[in-house]
Amino acid sequence: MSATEWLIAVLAVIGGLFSVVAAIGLIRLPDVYSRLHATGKSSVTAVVFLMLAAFIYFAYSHGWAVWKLLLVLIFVGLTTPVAALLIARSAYRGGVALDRRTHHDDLKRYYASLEAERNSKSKSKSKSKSVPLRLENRVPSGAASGGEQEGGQGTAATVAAGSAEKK
Amino acid sequence: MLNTILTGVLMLIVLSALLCSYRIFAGPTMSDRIAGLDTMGMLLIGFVGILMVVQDTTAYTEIILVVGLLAFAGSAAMSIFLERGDLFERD
Repeated sequence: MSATEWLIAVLAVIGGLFSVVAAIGLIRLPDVYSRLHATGKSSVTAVVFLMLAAFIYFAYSHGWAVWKLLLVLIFVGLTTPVAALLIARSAYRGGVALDRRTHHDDLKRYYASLEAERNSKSKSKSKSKSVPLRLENRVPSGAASGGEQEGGQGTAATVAAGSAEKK
Repeated sequence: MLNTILTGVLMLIVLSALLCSYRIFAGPTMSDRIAGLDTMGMLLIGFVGILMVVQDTTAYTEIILVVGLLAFAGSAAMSIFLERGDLFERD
């Protein structure tokens, strides 16, 4: 084997090992968010190394530069983070629980304040077209008071205004 | 020699696809299944790429592009459907 073939073999083996790392992370990690953290990075890295191996092989042995392989690489690098973001956001909004060892949840306050604002809007407007999010069964009512501490002054004011308007 | 190594890499990718399919079938929530299917799409892209080198043909490049597109569109559509209960807004 020449040096280029060794390079192709090493790149392909690194790609295969990264795919195994992605699969092990998908199996072993405790909840959806950490699983997405594992697969979102290492599957892209695996695809990058495997595509580089294929590109170098065809450029070396046939003299063709198959640019579509590098196009795939750019495409995967653009789309996989977006897909991971969409999956994680839908999981959080759909109420998938975090692992019980998690001790820090920044999004909880944010979504609680968002829902308080939405409630005040739907109280002030009698007919609102917006579909309510399914957050009621997940966010306890105590969390809304935690959300008011930060940006909640305006929210509480609008809630009061909305209830006054209704009376 | 190169062919043997690449066949070993194909076996590694098949092994990780099997591990992914465990998560797809046994995942406790639907988001786990979507994540497993997304990862499996990525693994399929890599598999076809190495298969092109093993079979010494460039005929499969379009397959790689289309599988990448479909994996992204599928996971995006499934997660948006889970989030809103609806893909397109209807009045």
